Amino acid sequence: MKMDRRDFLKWTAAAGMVATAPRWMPTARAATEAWQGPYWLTIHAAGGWDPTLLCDPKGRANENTPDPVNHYFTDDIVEVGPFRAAPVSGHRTFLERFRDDLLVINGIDAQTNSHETGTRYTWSGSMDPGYPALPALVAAAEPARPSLAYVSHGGYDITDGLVAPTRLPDTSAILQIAYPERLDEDEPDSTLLPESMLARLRSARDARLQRQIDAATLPRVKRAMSVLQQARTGDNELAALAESLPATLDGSNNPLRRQAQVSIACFKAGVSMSASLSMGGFDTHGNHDDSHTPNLQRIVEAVTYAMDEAERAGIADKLIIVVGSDFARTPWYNDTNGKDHWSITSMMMMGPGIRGGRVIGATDERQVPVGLDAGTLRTVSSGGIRITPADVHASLRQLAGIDGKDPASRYPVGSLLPILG
Amino acid sequence: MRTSSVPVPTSLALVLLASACGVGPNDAVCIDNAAFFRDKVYPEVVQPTCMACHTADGLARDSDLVFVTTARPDHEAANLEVLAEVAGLEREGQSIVLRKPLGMDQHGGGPVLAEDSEAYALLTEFVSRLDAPVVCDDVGKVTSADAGLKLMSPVSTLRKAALLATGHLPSADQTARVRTGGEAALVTAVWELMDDPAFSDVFMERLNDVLHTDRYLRDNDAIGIVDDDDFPSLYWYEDAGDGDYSKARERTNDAIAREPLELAAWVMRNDRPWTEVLTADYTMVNAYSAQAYGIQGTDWPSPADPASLDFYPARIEGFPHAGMLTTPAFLNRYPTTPTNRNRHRAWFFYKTFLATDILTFADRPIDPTVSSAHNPTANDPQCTVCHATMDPVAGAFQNWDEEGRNRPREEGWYAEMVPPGFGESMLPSPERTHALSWLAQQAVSDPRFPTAAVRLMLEAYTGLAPLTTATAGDDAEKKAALSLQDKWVEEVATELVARDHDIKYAIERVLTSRYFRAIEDVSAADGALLQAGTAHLLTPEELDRKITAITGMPWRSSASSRDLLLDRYLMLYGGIDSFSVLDRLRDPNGIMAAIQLRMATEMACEAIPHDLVLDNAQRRLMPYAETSYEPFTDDGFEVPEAEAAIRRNLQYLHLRMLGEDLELDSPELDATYQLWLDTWRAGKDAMVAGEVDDDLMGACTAQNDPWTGDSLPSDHRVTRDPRFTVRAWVTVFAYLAADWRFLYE
Repeated sequence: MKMDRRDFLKWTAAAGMVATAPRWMPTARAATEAWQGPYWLTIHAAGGWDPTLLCDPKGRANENTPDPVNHYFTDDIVEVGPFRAAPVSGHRTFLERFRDDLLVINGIDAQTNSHETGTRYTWSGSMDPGYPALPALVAAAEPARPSLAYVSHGGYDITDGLVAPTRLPDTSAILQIAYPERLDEDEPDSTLLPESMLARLRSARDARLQRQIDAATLPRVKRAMSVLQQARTGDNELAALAESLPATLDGSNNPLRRQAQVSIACFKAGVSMSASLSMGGFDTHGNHDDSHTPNLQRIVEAVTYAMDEAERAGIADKLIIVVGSDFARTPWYNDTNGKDHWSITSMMMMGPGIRGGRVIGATDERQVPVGLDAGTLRTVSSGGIRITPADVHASLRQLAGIDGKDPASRYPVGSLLPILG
Repeated sequence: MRTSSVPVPTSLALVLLASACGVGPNDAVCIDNAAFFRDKVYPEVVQPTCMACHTADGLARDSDLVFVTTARPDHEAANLEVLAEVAGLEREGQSIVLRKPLGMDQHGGGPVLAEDSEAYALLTEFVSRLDAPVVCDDVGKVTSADAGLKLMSPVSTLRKAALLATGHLPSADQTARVRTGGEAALVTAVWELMDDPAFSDVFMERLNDVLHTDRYLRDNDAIGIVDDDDFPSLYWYEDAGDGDYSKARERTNDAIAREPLELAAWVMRNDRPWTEVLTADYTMVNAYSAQAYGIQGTDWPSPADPASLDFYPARIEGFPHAGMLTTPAFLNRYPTTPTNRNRHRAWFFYKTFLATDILTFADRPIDPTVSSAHNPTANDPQCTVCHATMDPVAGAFQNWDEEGRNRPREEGWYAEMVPPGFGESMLPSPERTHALSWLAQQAVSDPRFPTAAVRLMLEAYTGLAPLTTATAGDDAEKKAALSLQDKWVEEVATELVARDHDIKYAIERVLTSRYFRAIEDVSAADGALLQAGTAHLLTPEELDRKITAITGMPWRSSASSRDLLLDRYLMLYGGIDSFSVLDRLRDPNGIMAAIQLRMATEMACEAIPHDLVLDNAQRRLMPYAETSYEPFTDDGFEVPEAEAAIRRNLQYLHLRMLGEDLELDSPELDATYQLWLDTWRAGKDAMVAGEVDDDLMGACTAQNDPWTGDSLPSDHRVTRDPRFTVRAWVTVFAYLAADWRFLYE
């Protein structure tokens, strides 16, 4: 009999793995139905985005304004409810659609101008190497996670060995590998052997791997064997994914749309819990506005598209989207009309548990954070705190229900502030 | 008792290092001073608080307290010694090491520690330990070669090394010699492997995991990154004639793309000093790229001639070669912009060739919003922490523009940046036109260069990223593992220099080390387990080569298609494209597990029937058994000879496919035989019941040559299985091909 998740849990529990698992040991899974949510989707603007062209607009008073933050005019800034946005095509529509759902956090102090460190900080909540990305941590914390729990399309996808990430650059092969014992994927009877004999083969294979695990004395080997064993418990999930994937994937020039489409299909099939999306092109040291603006539009479009897909899949009410970047761009232009690195950035998010229709945090006219009251997060005239990515992650972990629990507790982050409302 | 401004004798620091002991490795009571510095003071105080400025490249480089980075082989001893020396300086009866961090005595960095902080408490204990050194007895245990781990046998090591480093199984002769000659013969055999042309191919593949210059291979336009103003014959292939145009263009493209990797392989293969990867005053071309670069005296290549693909060293007239640094593939893979000003190139240079990740200097909070410094990258300590090291090297790349062309700026290098140079050496004016050559010479003389080379080879052949600087959050196991690793790297790096940077020596050491060979915990030293064990999931390329090596045939959907693991499943199986996906997946997910099972199914179906068409002497999988061998007669009588032959062949398969040397009566062989027997019996019963027939499914027959697709002679085909023995063997193959030992090395 093929080992299912319930069996897997039984033997790992019997072996004491759950209770005594060291940091690197994969957590056993419990029997479960398809994952029903919540679903986490992070979108990374790789290279360091410019919030002043999006959700923290500055502009310039007139053409004579010296050393302006932006080339557009302050009079043209878009205002929708509590939100303000740069006058870029698509921003108004975006804000109008999500005015009740969206939370914008401005003035986040990323505390670095290094791409690597900033990306790590934004998506793990720590500058320390090795910290897992939030979507990886969310998946790893769930004992009943499906076998493709965490899907990575790039960006910061460090898992620290807690969960195996899945890449899906090409979904056309999914149908074929969904039925690995069929010689013709479309023909159920094309198996190598009759089912009863296949069952014997599977059983022998599983038993041997179990013997190997039992005999292993080196932790790395034992861990790797356990990961292999866990990866083999999800054959049926691939079949479900194959049925859920659309016949044709998005072919537009916005790579995030396709990434979102695949991720939502994985969520809909119940085979994934979280996904990280990523798109480059934001490190615009030259010709900033012309290069940067279309990419920000793609970010906004991707959020909208993901929500559309989620609605079609019937999971929109369980989808949490978080958008961020390495850091931000300088509040001035350099000699090549570009912008260099600036550590004060923004994030956007929405989903169940996040009180939308709000902007928290603020920056002054030169994109320097305004101090906040730690209890209310309202701006104060002097002193106050700055929100950091570590603080954002403390709140997101609480939302995910993983704060203070293993494995998240091994990776401490910042203070719990009333960020999510 | 120390006296004011009198340094502690150097010998004291050395005493701290030289302590010897008798306390067990897991004894928590005794932490000697060296371990205390290594595990506590360095990661929790020095690294996060002092290293930003107190290094040879930092703002405090002129102070008495200058630490070395962990890329230097002897960093533990050197840093302990310098801190101990400076701790001996006192003012007002207190060590200045306890005063300066509080901002006293005009500390240039101001206050950096609070008096009630844990870090300050550690520093205080460190100073008090100088007066009363803690001595333990266990120092030295961790330096043993195997660190308390059981290593795989020389024969098993040879098999693993051959499969991973060449994609071939070792020859019978090599195996026999190693079986007889032990460790010494293993070393000899490893050096033989390095002479195999396939070794060079794998070597380049491994290096590409770091360099990623293969992104320009095939259709990815390496030709487009070369300027035809500089090389007017770049498009020479347009005159190659219709028949040869495509092939000539493709080969020209790939030759340009492969230049840096071919240089590294040439240096390795010919026992040249590894330093030449940076310092070579030549590059590597074949007949195609030689035409493109307009190299004098080269013959027009003939695509039909295999030798036209061979690479050889050549100089391009007037070109300031500096190893791979000046190749178009390298310069374009690591491009620059007008404001980046070669800093990305400098970062990669340090990271790859000097084992120094400058960006880790910035793993601490900065706040540019309060910076009032003019030209902050040169004057604001928040910025100079990285830029003081990075910018001089960036300046050394000054002659190479955004497109990788040799285009020195007419106005000279940026005056507001730290001047071009390396470390404390400034680029001499006469060297400006050959700045990268000068930089390369400086770098290869740096002790970090051999360290980086050893770490690079360690990662290349174990798939294990070397541990980096310990941080405050690291547990004791990682700190101990880092210490073990550093000691090993230091030892190999020192010998590497003594052997004139012959990189084969470093490879030999990796392939014979515990990092490559550990199989069992006997009494592992602290930290030894963290990186020990054969837990390397084969990459798509490695698994593809192994399949072919074991079975003699590739995993393809048809004879004319590409290998599935190099094409359809390359990225799904965790591979890289050297462009957008740069990191391999090291653990299998559900999709990768399904690919493994599909491979096992399809290859079982293909390989067993195709092996059966061969003569016994040529068989790779079935040399000891025939399809006519059944362990029982139809009447149920035992046929001991048949069972013995089947068991013998199963034993052979375990060894060939898994490297597992089993006794004929071992429990594992019993289990495999039982699977064979149960499958055969069930199949026979099903045949009697009319549930299955004699014919093999089409995909499980041998009717065509797997490489050419040509039809096999009718008397050399396997299409039927009247005894159900073919399917029993196919089942066993599927069982073994999905085994841990087949998928991992």
